[in-house]
Amino acid sequence: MENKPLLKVDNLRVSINVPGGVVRALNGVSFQINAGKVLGLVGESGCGKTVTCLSLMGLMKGQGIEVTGKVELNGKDLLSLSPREMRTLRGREMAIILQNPMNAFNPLVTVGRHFTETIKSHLPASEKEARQTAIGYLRRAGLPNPGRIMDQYPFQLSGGMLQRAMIAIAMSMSPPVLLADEPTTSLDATLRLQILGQIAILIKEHNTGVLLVSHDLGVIARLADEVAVMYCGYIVEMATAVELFNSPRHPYTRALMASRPGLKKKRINPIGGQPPSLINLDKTCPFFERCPGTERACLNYEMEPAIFSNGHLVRCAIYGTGRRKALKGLA
Amino acid sequence: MTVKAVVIKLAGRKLTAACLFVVLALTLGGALAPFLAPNDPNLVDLGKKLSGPGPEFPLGADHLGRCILSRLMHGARISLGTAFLVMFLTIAASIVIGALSGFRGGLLDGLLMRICDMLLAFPSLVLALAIIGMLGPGLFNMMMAMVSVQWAWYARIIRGMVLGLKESGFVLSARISGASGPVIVARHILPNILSQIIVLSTLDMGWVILHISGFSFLGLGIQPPTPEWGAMLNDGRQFLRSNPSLMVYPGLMILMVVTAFNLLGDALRDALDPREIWGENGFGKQTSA
Amino acid sequence: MLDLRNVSRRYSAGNRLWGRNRMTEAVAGVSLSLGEGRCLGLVGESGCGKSTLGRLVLGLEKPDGGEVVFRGHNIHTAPPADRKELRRNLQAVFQDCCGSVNPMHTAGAIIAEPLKNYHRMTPAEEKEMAEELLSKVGLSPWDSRKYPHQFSGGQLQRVCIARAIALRPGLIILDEAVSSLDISVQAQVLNLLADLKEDFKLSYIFISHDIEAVCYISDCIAVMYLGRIVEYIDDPHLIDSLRHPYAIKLMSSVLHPRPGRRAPLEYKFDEIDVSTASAGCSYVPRCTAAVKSCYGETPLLRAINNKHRVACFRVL
Repeated sequence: MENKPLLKVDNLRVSINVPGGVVRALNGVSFQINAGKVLGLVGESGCGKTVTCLSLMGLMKGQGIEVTGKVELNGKDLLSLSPREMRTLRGREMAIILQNPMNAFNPLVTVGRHFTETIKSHLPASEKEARQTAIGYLRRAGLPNPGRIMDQYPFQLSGGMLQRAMIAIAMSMSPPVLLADEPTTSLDATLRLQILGQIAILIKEHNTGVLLVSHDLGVIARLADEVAVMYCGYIVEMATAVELFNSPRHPYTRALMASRPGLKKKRINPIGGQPPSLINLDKTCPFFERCPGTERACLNYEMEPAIFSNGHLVRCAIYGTGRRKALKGLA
Repeated sequence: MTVKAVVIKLAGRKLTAACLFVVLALTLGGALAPFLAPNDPNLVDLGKKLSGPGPEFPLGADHLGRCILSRLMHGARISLGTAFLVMFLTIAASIVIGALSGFRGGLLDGLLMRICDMLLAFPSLVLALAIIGMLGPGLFNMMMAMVSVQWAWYARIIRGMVLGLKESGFVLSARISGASGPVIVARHILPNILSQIIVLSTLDMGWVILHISGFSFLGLGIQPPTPEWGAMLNDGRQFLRSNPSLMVYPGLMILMVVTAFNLLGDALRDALDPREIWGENGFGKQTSA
Repeated sequence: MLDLRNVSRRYSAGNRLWGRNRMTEAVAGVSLSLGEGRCLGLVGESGCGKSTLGRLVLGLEKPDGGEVVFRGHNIHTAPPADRKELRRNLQAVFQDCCGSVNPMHTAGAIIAEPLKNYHRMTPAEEKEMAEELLSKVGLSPWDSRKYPHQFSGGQLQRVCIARAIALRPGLIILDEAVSSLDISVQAQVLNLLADLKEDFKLSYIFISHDIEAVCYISDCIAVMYLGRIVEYIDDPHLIDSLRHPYAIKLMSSVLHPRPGRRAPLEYKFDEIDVSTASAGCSYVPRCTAAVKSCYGETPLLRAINNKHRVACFRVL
């Protein structure tokens, strides 16, 4: 973390007006992504992972949606850019890979056309040059016979191939920042490792900073250097991957880890209950009802998270509130 | 979803509420015409022919001295009543045929759908005219002609909806829990397509009313002296220059009813949209795996 | 209790109009048996035929060859009177819980539906039964008046499970029943399924691509690849001793949430066009250890000990 952060997100808040109330989808999310590093964002559905990605890309727009905070990419404040500036920036300086490759491609347009259009919209290239570049990237993505794939329609390719093609398109601009929103969720287990491998190569080649979003702790553990755990729009815990997986502190993180049916486990002890409905959440800790050890202090969750001396950040009343804590005596 | 919720939603918008009012008022006015109408609609009094509005005839009298208002009210009874009946018969026939065709599939499906194709290949108006020509003019024959022209179109749509739902997870689950074919259709498929059928038929009511009036105007449907808007238009034709009100009033009625039904159909479609109804706390639902 | 004897099911693929009517075998000669009160885990990648196998067992599809025998009756050829009773004993829970309930019915009506079809009950009895089932699956009896859209995914899956156990079936097919749920909820549902299995003496066929979940709940595990069972173990504790190259690959793709034990990433593209499969072992195009005989004929399941069967020439 000695180098300067590529993407800095500070106190990002998103609220959405829905019939019947307000959904506070993100409540002061702050993190940063460094070059060549992977930040894993883990959490269950509805916790705000996708909202984070969309608002970073400037796609959280619409009636009743309010985005505040600061998103700084290479010194530019993204939230203050015009839609036009945002459009030129998207793909070139920050690309995104989506969960379902089938939905991300227009079914009536060939893969090659998707690819060349992306290249031509950002670079001064002729159709022929664009095609050559595209074939090169598809080959580097490990796809056999890239020339043929260029002329195929999305439905003719398997999910794994499409996901690779999408990564290839995203990386053709060699963007400094890549957002990967559940890149392996819709794929088979054996393909999962290949796609992760693909992303890992790209990080090494282009020194890309990656935000890897997943609900799967295994995927996060495999690739991430740093991990942020999200719950109901809050980052409840953030630390380096090794630190977080070896000594999780927030009760939610612990529960999440205990919920996995390992190959040798006799009996899982999952947390009870469901995440609360996001409509009109008050300031109480959203994990309050499911938490094994609740305290009175949990009633106000809008607090400063505790940060331990090794950078381990926990937002939980058990660890108190405030700036830095000595590591010992609090584990 | 409750009926109440839909009605509240419909009445919430001014235009829709107005349409709802028009349709209800006319239906009620037509139904109670024998009690509400100021005069006998068929009472000929040539001495008062073409007289203007006055205390006896609020909207004036026609060329035979009959009260226009009373005839409009009795006409509503005939026009709307016939339209409702035609619509009902059409829907009933096409639900049976569409559901049978879609759910059973196979040879029966092929046969029924080819019949539909044949019917749909003719211009519907020409076909209806031909059928009336064969059967002879008259209210009943006209209704039969309209139903036999229209059912094919509805049957096709309903078959499509049934086919879609047949593959759905809950029909599969119902089959696994031991439900028989007719039970699945009645318990699971029909309730789920009913709202769409209601919307479709509301949108089409205007079409039916126009056609009934059209046939009557041509002298093929309701026969004089029975009061009916289309027939009244026909009667007033000769007096278009001297007494335009003979044509203006029934024309206005048709315009109003058709517009009201069309707007109501649009509003119903919005109100019954599953996303509108089920989306109340849709944000709490799962979006990603 | 359940016996699959050389069951196969083919689908026609390709363009029928132009005469290239190829057949793909979704299920090819599968033989399996499952005892009372046991859970068979069926694991494999998407398109390997595991769901088709489930549908064959449910009687939703007819096999092109072989027979499915449940408690001594062939479920596809049994006389209609027996078949109704057989169907009562075969229930299912699917992945898409939102799609498998009628959006216009309340939870109570959804659960009471199988009861309506098989038992003559008064509405009051039905209601009582539905409420009892709801509390069995960990929901409150008050929930019987709620509509599907008022439940979360996990709760709705519990409703589906309640419906499946309503008729006290012998066997429940769980087709990716926990795959779309969140991790914490997934664990709750897995535990619920394990408890119900004990309480009601149920048997399961647990179909999933998630080998960890399969291993957690199953008593025996079958690994499927392109319509065939390539490996079968009779004890989930043997999971580490899987020998088939595909099963090994599947095991190595399990991602442990321990950054210290990182599985090696793969970079090679490893996917084949299913339609080009020819004679020989179907895994040959992806296999790293293939020998000559693998191209010639299809390996059959052979027992290496009484709890372990593998279909591979390289495994002795």
